Order: sequence, then structure tokens, then C-alpha cells
Amino acid sequence: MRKLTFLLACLFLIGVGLVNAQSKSVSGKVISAEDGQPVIGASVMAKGTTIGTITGVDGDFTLALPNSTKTLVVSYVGMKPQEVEAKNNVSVVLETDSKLIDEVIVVAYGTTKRSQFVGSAKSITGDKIASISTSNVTNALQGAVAGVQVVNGSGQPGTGATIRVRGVGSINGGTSPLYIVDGSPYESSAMNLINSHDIESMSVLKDAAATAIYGARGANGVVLITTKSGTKDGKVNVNIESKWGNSTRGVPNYNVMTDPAMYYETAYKALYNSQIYNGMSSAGAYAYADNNFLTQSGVGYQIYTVPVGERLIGTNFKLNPKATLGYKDNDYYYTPDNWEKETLRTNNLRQEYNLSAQGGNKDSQYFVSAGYLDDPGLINGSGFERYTLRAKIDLQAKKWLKIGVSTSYANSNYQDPGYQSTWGSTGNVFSNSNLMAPIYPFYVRNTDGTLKKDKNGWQVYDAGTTTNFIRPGSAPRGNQAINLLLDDNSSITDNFSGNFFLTLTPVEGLSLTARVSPEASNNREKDLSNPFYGSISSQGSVSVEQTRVFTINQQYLANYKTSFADLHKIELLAGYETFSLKEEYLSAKNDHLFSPFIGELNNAFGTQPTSSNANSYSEHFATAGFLGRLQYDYSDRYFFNASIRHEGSSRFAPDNRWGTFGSVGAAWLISKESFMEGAATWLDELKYKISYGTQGNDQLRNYYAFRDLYSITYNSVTGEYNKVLSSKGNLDLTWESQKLFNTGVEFKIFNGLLSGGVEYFSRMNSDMLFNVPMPPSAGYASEPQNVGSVLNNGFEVELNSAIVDNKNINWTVYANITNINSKIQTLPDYTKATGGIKQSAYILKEGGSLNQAYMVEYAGVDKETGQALYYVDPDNGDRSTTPNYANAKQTDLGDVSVKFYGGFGTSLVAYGFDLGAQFAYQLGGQAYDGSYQELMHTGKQLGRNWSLDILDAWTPENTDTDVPRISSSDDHDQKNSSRFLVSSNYLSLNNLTLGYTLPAKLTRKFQVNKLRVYLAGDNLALFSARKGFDPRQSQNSFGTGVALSTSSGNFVYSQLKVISGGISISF
Amino acid sequence: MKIINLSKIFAFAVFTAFSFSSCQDLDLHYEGGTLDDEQITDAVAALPERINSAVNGMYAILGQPDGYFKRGTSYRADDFGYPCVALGQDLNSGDMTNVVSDYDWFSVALEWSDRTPTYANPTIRLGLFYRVLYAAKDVLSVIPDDTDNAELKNKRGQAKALRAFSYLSLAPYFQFKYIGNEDKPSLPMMKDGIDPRNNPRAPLKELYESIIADLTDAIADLEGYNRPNKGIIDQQVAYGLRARAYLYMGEWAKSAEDADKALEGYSPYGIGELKTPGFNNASDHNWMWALLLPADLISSANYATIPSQLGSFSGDSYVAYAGIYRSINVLLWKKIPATDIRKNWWLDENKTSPYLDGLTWKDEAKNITYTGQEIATAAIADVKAPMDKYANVKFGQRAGVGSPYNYGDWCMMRAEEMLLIKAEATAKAGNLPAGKQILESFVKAYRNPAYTSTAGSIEDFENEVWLQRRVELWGEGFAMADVMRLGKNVVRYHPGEETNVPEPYRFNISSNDPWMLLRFVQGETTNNVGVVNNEGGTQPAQGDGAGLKDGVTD
Repeated sequence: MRKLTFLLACLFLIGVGLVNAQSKSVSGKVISAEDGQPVIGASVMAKGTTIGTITGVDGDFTLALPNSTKTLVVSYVGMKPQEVEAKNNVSVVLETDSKLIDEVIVVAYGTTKRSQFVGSAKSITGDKIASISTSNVTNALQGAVAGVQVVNGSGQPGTGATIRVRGVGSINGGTSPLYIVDGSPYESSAMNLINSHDIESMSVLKDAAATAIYGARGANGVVLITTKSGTKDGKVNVNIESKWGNSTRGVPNYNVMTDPAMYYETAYKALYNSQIYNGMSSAGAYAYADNNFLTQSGVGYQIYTVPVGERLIGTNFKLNPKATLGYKDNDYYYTPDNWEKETLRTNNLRQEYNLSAQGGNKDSQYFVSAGYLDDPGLINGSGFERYTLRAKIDLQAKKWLKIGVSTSYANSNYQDPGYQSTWGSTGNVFSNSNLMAPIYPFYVRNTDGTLKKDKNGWQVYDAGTTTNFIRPGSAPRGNQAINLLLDDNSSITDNFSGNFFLTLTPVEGLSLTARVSPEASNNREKDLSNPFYGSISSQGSVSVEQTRVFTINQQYLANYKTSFADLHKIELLAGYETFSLKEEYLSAKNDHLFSPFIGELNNAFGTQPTSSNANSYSEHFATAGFLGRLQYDYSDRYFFNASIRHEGSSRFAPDNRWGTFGSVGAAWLISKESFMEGAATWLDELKYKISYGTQGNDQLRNYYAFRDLYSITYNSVTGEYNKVLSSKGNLDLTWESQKLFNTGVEFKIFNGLLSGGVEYFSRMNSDMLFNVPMPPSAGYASEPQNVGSVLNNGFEVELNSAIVDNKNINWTVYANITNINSKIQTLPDYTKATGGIKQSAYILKEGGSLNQAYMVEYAGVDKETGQALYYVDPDNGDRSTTPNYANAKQTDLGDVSVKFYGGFGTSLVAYGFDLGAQFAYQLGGQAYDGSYQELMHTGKQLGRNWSLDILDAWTPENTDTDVPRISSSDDHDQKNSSRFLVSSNYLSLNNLTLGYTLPAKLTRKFQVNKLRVYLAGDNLALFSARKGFDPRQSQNSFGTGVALSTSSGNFVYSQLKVISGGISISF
Repeated sequence: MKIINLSKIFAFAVFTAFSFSSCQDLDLHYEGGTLDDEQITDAVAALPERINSAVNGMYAILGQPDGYFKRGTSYRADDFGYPCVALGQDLNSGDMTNVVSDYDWFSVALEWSDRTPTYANPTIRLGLFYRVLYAAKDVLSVIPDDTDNAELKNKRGQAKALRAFSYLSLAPYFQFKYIGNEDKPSLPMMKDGIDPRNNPRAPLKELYESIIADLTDAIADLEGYNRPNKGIIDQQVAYGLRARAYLYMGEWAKSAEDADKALEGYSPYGIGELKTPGFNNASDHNWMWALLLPADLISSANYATIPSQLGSFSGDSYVAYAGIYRSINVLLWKKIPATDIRKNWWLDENKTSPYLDGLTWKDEAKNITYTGQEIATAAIADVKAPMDKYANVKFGQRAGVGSPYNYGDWCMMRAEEMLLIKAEATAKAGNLPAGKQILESFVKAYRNPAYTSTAGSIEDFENEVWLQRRVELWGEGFAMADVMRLGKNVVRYHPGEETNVPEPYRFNISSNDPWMLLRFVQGETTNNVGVVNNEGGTQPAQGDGAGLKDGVTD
């Protein structure tokens, strides 16, 4: 106590000393040449001293100066500094200078100026992110950053995107980047809890110079999110933003049959053909088709009425012309419905409201915000609702002490009916409505044609087993419509994340920072299954899950900055950082609900043994690391950077736990060299940079991959415990190491008319984390090992142009492209003898890529028989064909990776109007279109819809075709093969915004600084190889780096097209 | 200057205090139902009886739903251990069929596309037994060869018996019958010190020698052992397994002798006991060895169960929901005399069976209760489609007709099989009259009072026994093993005769067709260079093998 008092007293004395040094006072005002408005926060300094102030709300300032001061230097970011005479009531007009904008970017453990940054990073501003209507901020990266690929899976509101920075480096190791929010790691699963309006900037760090200091967890790139802070200008700025929109399906269905008659006729033909092609007489084939048409071997449902005694389908395979749509039996009336139309909700009002305020002075700054989002989704029972609160306070408490706290709370309700991404599930309404033949009723109707209601007054939907007709097994059974209404799948999350820091500055240039960041997430998930439809015999069921995740990150950093002779600038950073995670999970389920509407366990009275109905576990994970960095600048022209991190992860056994990673990088600001002075008229900036470094990756399988793990079960009859090996561990398992190289130039010419950069990168992953598959005869499935290596390399080009930039018009365009090539360099030795690691859709082999298609190769249609043909064994030179699929060997079909991807867009601001457009694209790859395969069945899956392409099927008259014959008994004609590999090229219009900002002169009258109204469209168009096929989704079916899967296509919750309008006001 | 120094000291003090308090422990464990070695060692030290979990684990592999692929909530509904293997083999045969449906996880067996190396179903059918072998190896590795400890000897006996059982459950499918093919490749064997990446297939002879040696050791080790429940192998079960092995090898006398020893104290189901769907309770007196599958083992993967995939009475299943009732081939059904009690195990051509009498199935949504024969034709939305002709009603729903809980035991060995082995082996060992007498007395007393054996030759008698086996053991996983060891054709239809086999599955396969042999799946051939795969033949198509006969259903 005594010490503290003494210290405070001392500081008081210093303050007094400073006050006594002044003697004269001047005042003035700073305004902008562009719009005549006051410049708030401009710096006004007495030339040659450290005495100064910043301008206030009205651009005015008052400054006490020593008598000797003659000149003031007035400066502001992005404007040309001016020197003016130090006199009272001086008026300073500052002009914009794009040449001088030196963007400050957020990098690892600090910030830096773009010009002196040796690494590779790209930053997006908060307003760009906020303009996208998405519940997950990572979606804003799509097409916006070179080298970053965003793979959207489900369109379900609240789900995230998969982000890949410079390709996929590993086979089984994790591929997601590390997310850092305000300096501390953030769980990627919680990215949907960040309000995009709270974001100041989002940076993606791509090369080793930028990321190596994050050690093991930065191997897949780092995404740094910086939230908004307060201001120093003494003003309080309040922003209100309201946005309303409507969501519809973003990607339409394939070109499928919509005419019931056409489906009937084709189905009949398939039955007939199955016999005629197998040697039956024509009469026999008709008889077979007639007998089976309305059974489960046919279409099952009669939906046309024909005069008594007449054929439904004539022997000419045409529907009886006298047939009328609609059929009635004693109990029901049957007529087909449009399943897609009935499934998708039409009234999807999306609402978003945000309010924030920022303010402060030079000693304390604050930012507070509150937000609400309601994103209802396309189908009943799905949606995302979120409340967010955020507050950030930064205090210069003492001259030597800075303290800050940033906290955020979010509450979300994620309603996600299960199975909407599950291939082939009865519960997936997207695949069901995509695949349902156009002959089936969605509703059950009474004989008079009215819709049937059940005893509770609810609509009765046709589940395929509800009426006197039964849908065949190949038509999706069930009808989830009623379940979407009566079931409840909601996941409620409370997330608190906080960040407390303390920076001490004991001596000039040295700062010591302690930053402690706890994050707590509580999630309660409830799945209520109603007792009326679906789980009837168990009388409804409920499952409740509770997950608590607590992480804490602690950072202790010492930073020392000094310079010599104004030429040498040195900055040193040393630190220690730990991260620990604890996840606690508890779930229970039960059935036999008393009330069908209450999804709680105390409302469930099933009596089944519960040892597997109640679960709980705890997961633990931690890392610890020592880090250091040296930055050296010479003469603001040469920049050098070296970093190192020694890190341990609990994922590995003690002997293999610690690894050391580091990087070196350099940059040369060529444009500042004296020999470049001649180019100064047109060359604003030219920089060359190069970096090399190493990094680790510890993400494999689970937190305990090095241990043998056994699952324990209990048998209540025998009273015995069972121990079964569940996964084989490997004590030698250690980091996957990565070597990253990056080099390139950045430039800016003609006052920003064109700027951009070109970079070459390579990323070599060795000692890859790999679940090495074992033969079944080994007795266990796989063993985690560090084997093999993969090289990713390519280039990125990024161009920006300010085509017009004057007082009234600002028009910019941007474009970026990334080329990437991945190649497996080495694999375990044993794979050489077997030709590689073969899977059902891809092969991993040396020299191949991570997306090397490996399937049976389709050889077209046998002109004589109409059967599909496959090449027997092309890899071994046998290119003869066989109609027997099982006799055809898989073959290496080459690399199907995407070769180029990127985005482009434009922004035009003119006379108060603003127009923006953003596009994304990818080129050069292939993907498997499994949905199309389903829609091209040969008649074996009657009840499932057909693509209209089936009309081109082989017939004796139409032999010149690629589509095999229609026949309901052909098993070989629609098998997994190269036939369904399709180009994954796409171009998407991600965002189009048109806004108008009312003139400030007008709004000022109402004390409003800015009022903008706008219209925006998100996900407006997708152009892909085939209507209905969304290549952005097909890559998502694999969580790992390997993307190719035969179960892919357009069966996942469709991406949302959102049309919205909004208004934003600041005052 | 002094002041600045003091503030520095203060600053450093605060800073270092924080730093030191934050040393991170990196030795962490998972806490839950999955344990690592350290945790198991700790548990066994405190509770020594937990050591039994390793032995019990071997059996658990055979019955655990989702036990092979371990996919959790997205489990495969055809991943349920030995019963799924049995179902796959039976659906290959000519004895069992069902309608075509995309909901049928086992259509690959019906269409014989299960020889496709990338399919999951044949992966389980191969790999499951190596999981047991690996677990058995683990158990054996800690038991000294010269132990006198009775408990350890019992454990060793069980491990060796399970090792033999595992090989025996694969051997018939990867190579043609033993006699005449002794030197042909069988399976990779899990021997000590092998490299699993280069482990060639052992000759059939070596495999069978090891099976017999293991069972002989097991019989010795299990002498006097009183098992706690029928889930465990005892000496009689070991004899029964050796009887099977000798039967496959054509060692008739030895087979008959072992079957006789196995049978001691057991008798078949009586006619009076066969009145209602069953075959799901290990306490039945004729059951010798079983997988004990109570509700707590199956409820997390309810669709990967026997009632979901084989039985016709589950209220939450694949079979009833999708209407893919596992049915007897009408050709075989017609060979069952009307006086045979087993005729009731399947619905007849009118979709009736006395087995349905007295049962009820309630449609909860419509509040209608179907009783007796109505059950067959009832359609309940979201629950069941009407049953097909010849659908099986042999396998009951342990939790009650229409119950959504798919638990119930699985029979691994029962007295009837031993009697049929004894009859066949006795005859083939040279005493046809004695064999006939054994068969006749069994069928007459327990199945069909009007039965007589009319066989005049060993060949005729072989077919008589085979018919009995096909009927008696239908659905229990013996169908293809018999086809293979007897060298028979698979006959599913006779052209021009009534058939309940759907067109895509309607074909016959010749006994010597190389397609008869299962293939080593891609996971094996890619990761084990030593394995040379079975080759030849093509997947049969509708109408193939029209003229083939099997000697029983002709």
C-alpha cells in the first residue's frame, strides 16, 4: 500500500512538470477539401516537438504551445499533411491523398503497416462483411481474398462454410484455419455467433512469415478478426441499421420430369423393356408391365382415371387419351402435387437490427453494440435467431499502464431439422423433393378431393404408406412435412467470450502485455419427435444434449521497440502462451411422451434400460508455447522479420509433444530507392517480398490419437463389462510439419489507378498426419502415422483499380485469381507395391493429387443392345469393354482438383448512390454429380424422378446416344463411374447492392450525419455445368481434405437466395 | 530516476506473477466410455474383476451394432456383427428372397454384386472376424503357455475356440470345398510376428489344421469349466465347433463323434414349443451358444439389428417399414410337407400362418388393433407395409409385436444343428441306416410326425439332410456354407414355375462358377500385397442358369 501511494504521488509530480512547460495558446479548424466537412481526429502538432492535440467534433482545436513555436503540422490518415503558421483561428483545408494511404493491417500479435509487411495477408473491411446477408461471417471471404477457397455446404441458416487457405495440405490432418478474435483463439464452430456489424476488419494470413508465430495451430492459415473499438475524437457516434429480406431457394432442381403422363409412360416402358430385352415375347412383356405397373415393382400409384375396361397405358406406350388426371377409390382421391413447392416455405422474412455506439477520448475509448438477427430458412422447423451484445473499453489508465476489456455475449437458437444434409435419408426433404417422381400426392385427399385432416385437425401428408397405394421402395418413403411442423430440433447456445489485457510500459519502447481470454459456451440441444407421425410405436421421443465448452487462452508478451539514427528500427517480441479447452457433454433420451408438445425428459416415460440412453463425457486439450519475433527495418526500405515458436500439444505423447517452428522473411520497398525517383510520377509503390518458414499441424482424429483407445460396454444380462479396441494409437505420432515459401511483388501505380500483387507460394507438408488404412485382416481399421508428403504450389494475382476517383464519383473494380496444384510427393512404401491407396472414388498415389479420381470408366452405350459399357481394366492396358460392371476395374481418371478460383467485383459510388457487385468462380476441376446419377436410373428405381435427359435413352431406333436403355431389371447401367463426373466450374453472383445516401446537408437538419437506404441481393445466380448442380456443395461431403465422393450432388439444404432492403442511420 | 525504477519493478512483478501461475499441464485424458491403457490399468488395479472385460470383449465384437465401422449416429444399418454376416450369406443362397427396394441394405447379396471390391457389406463379412482374431491374440498374449491357473486356462480355451470359430466362419466362402482343394489359398492368418501388409493366404489345409488344433486345445482347456451364461463358449460348444470343422473337412466319423459329445444334455425344440414367432431368447433349452443382446447394447443403433433386418414384427425397422420381408423361396417352401410344424414359420400363399394367431399389432395413429391373421395384410403408415407371401414369421420380436425396441438374442449353435451334423456324418462315415435313423427320429419327434427318410443312397440322403438343414436353419447363416461344402448349385427359380424371386434376383448359379467365391475387398488388396484375389466369373443377371437344379427343390 505504501509503495502504491508513493508511486501515484510521483506520477502527479511528472504531470505538473509537463503543464509548466507551456505558454501560448492557438486555436483553429480543420476541414476536408473534398466535401467541406470538418475533419474529426486530425492531428495538430507543433513542428519539431511532441506537443500536439487532435481535432474535435467540429474539426476545431485549441493548443497550448511554447512561445517559440512558429509552425503547426496538420495531418490526417489518407490526406496530405499541411504546415500552417501557428496563429489563432487558423483554417486548414486538407486534401485527399490516395498515395499516402498506408493501410494498417492486423497481424499476429500486433499491427503493422502494409508497406513494411513481409508476409502475405489480405484484409477485408467490416462494412464489406456487413453488407453480405449471412449468419456466418466467414461467408464474406468467398471470392474476396486470393488464395482462400470458401466451400459452402448446407444453406441452413447458421451453418458455417469450410475455409481453405492455399489448398489442402494434408490427407487426414485438419484443414481448417485458426481463428483469432481480438488476439485470442476462437472456436470455429462459434463463428456464427459473431455479429458481422461488430467487425472492424478480417485478415487472412497466408504465409509462414505471417503465421509461423502461431506454431502448430496456424498450419492451415490464420483468420484474424478485429472487432470495432472506440474513437479518440471526443464524439459519440451512434449507428442504427435495420434490414429486412426474404429468402428463397438459391439453386433450383435439375431439369426433371414434371409431366405425370410422361413419367407414367416412361415407367411403363421400363417394365416392358425389362422383359423384352430378356427374351420375353411382346405379349408376355405387356402382361408383365400391366401386372406390375401399379405394384411396388412399378410406380405403385394410380393417379389417372380411365374408362372401365380400357388400358391405362396403351400398347403404343402412350397414356390413354381418355385418361383424366385424378383417381378415386373408396377411401381417397389421388392427384399429384409439386413436392418442391409444397415443401419449401414461402414466407421467410429475414430481419436484422443493429445498434452501436462508439466514442471516447484520448485516454478512454469504448464501443458498445447490440444486435438481433432472425433468419428463418427455407423449410419449417429450420432457422437461426441470434442476439448479440458487445462492449469494448480501452483505457490509458496511467502513462505506463493500459487496460482493456472486451466482452461479448451471444445467444442463438439454431433450429436444424436433422438429416437435411444426409445422403439418401428419408428425412431429407431436399433430396426427397428433388427425387420424387411427379406422380405422387403430397397430401392425402378425401374422395371429394378435399384435403384430409387428422383427428387433431392437422393436414394429413402422404407418407407413401398412408393410403391404399404404397410408394415403391425407390421413391423416397415418408413425408417429413408434418414432422417439420410437429417436431422440434433446436439448439440454443449461450456464448460468452471475453478478453482482458493489461499493458505495462516500464521504460520507453518496452511494453509488457498480459492477455487473458476466457470463452464459455453452453449449448442445449433438444430433439422432440412427435408421437403421431414417424416414431409412433414408441409414442414420441425426446433427446436432450447439453454441452459446455470452456477455453482459456493466456498470453504474456514482452515487446521492445527501438531505433538508431533514424535508420535502424528494431522491434523484438517474446512471449509465452497457453491454451486449454475442456468440453463437458451430457445427453439423455427417452420415449413415451405424455404431452406430445413438450420436449423434456420429465415428460418422457419410456422404461427401456438407459445405460446407452444417457451419456456424458469430458474432453481435454491444451497447448503451450514460447514465442519470439524480431523485426528490423532499415531506412524504411528494407524490412526483415524472423519468428520462432516452441510449442507443445497434448495431442501427442510426451516424447513427441514439443516442436519448434519458425520463419524468416524480408521485403524491399523498391519504390523508395533513390534510383526509382524517376518513376515517382507514376509509381506510387513497388515492393518485393520473400519468406520461408515451417509450421505444424496437430489436428488428427481426436485429441488422443497417440493412445490405444478401448470402448467399454456393459451387458445387463451377463453382468459383464466388455472391452473392445476402438482405435489404435501410435506413441510415435507427432506434428505434421509444413514448409511454406512465399514470394511476390506488390505495386501501386498512377495514384491508385491500378494496384495489386502477384505471389508465388508453395506449401510442402511432410510427415503428414495420416490414418494409415490397414487391411481388414489386420484386425483394426487404421493406425495414425506421420507419413508421406504433399506439395501445394501456385500463384495468386490480386488487382484493384480505382478507375474514377474524384469528388463525385468513386468507381473501383477488383479481381483475384488463384492457381493451385497439389501433388503427393511421397507415400508409405507399401503403397508402391499395390499402386497406391485405393478408395471407392479416388486414389492416393505418388505423383497424383489429393483429388485423383479412381472409378470405373464409362465407355458409352453398346449400339447393339443399349446396355452401358465399361472399360475392363484401362490401367493395365485393357481397353476392351464389358456390359458387366463388376468385371470392370477402377481406373485412374486423373486429377480433378479445381485449378483456378477467385472472385471479382466492382463498387461505384456516385452522387450519393452506391452500387456493388461481387462474383466468385472456380475453374478446371471436376466433381461427382450423384444426384444426377440418381435421376438417370434405368427404371430400376421406379418411383424416383428422371432427368429429362433420360428421354434420349437408347432404343433400337435411337442408337447414337450416350444414355443406356431403359429397363427396370438392368443393374449395370447407372453404376458409379466416370459417366457422372462433371466439370465443377462455376460462376456465382454472390452479392449485388444498390444504395442511396441522402445528402448530408439535408440530413444534418435532423441531426443525422448519414442516412442510407439500400437494396441487396445475396446468392443471386449460379452458373454451373448442369442446372441443379451446385459444385460448392459437392466438395463438402468429405470433412477431410479429400473432396471426391460418389455420394454428392444437390441433395443438401439449398443455399439461400436473399433479397433484402435496409436502412442505416448514424448520428 | 528512482521513481521509474520502482514502477518497473512493480510492472515486472505483476507480469511474472501472471506468467508463473499459468504453467499448462499437457498430460490429458478423455473421460467417458472410451478408455486408454493407463485408465484401464488403474481401473483393474482397483477392481480386479474388470480384467474379464478383455475376454468378454471378444464376444461383444460379434454382436455389437455399429461395431465394425463405428460411425456413431450415422451408423450403417447393415453393421451388426455376426447376424449381419449370416443374413448376407443366406440372401446369397436360393433359400431366402425379398422384394427389390432401395431401402434394402442387403440387396447386394441378393443380386450377388457383393463381390464388388469397394462395397461395405463384404468388408464387414470379411473384417469382422479379424477383429475377433485380434482381440483373441491380445488375450492369448498375456497368458503363459504353461499356466496351471484354471481361470487363465478357461480364458485361453475361449480365445482359441473363438479363433477357430472366426476362421471357420470365413473358410467356406473364399475357397471351394476342402476335399480336393487342400492346397489352394484360403485366408491370411493372424499368426505371431506376421506383417499384416504382406500376409499371403495360407493353404486351406494349413488353415483347417490350425482350426482343429485350436479347438482341440480349447476342449482340453475348457474341461470342467462351468460357464456363467450361454454367451460364453464351454467345452460342449467347442466340441460343436469341431464337429462343424470336421464336417467341412469331410472327416465324417470325427464329426459325428464331436456332434454327439456336444449334444449331451440338449434336446431340440418340441413341436409344442413351436407355436409362435421366437428364436430370440438364449434361455431356450436347445440353444447351446448365443449372442446375448439386451436392450442396452442395441438401443443406440436400433436399425442395425436382427429385428430390423430379418424379423417381420418390429415397429421401428427396415424390413416392416420398407416391406422387404425376408421370405422363403417358394421352391423350398413347397418341399415342406403340410404336416411339418415348420411350415408355419412362413406365411403361405394366402398370407396366413397359425403363428399369427393370438398376436396383436396396434396402429397407434389410427387407433386400430390388428389381430391374428390381419397382421399380415395390415398397412400402418410409417411403420409397416403389408407382408409378402412366404414372409418369415419364424423370428419374433422379443419386446413384443410392433414394439420399436429391437433387442433379442441370436442363436450361434443349437441342438438341432448338432443332430443334423450327426445324422449326415454318421451316414457318410459309412453307416447309412444309422444316419437315416438319427434323422428320422429327430424330424418325426420334433417337427413332422409323418416323416420318413426314403433315401436309398448316400447322395439321396445328403439331399434329405440338406433339405432339413435348409428348412430348420433358415435365416441362421448356414445356407451358403452348405452350398459351398456340398458343392451344390444355387437354385432360385425354375423357368415356368411359380417364383417369388423378383426379376433382378432371378437367376441360378452353377456350383463351379468362380463368382461363387467371395472376393477380398479393396481395403485388403490395397493394403496387403500378399493377397492374391479370387478371380473369374461374372455377376449373374436375370434369367441366367435357367436349367440348373440343386437336387432338393427339383
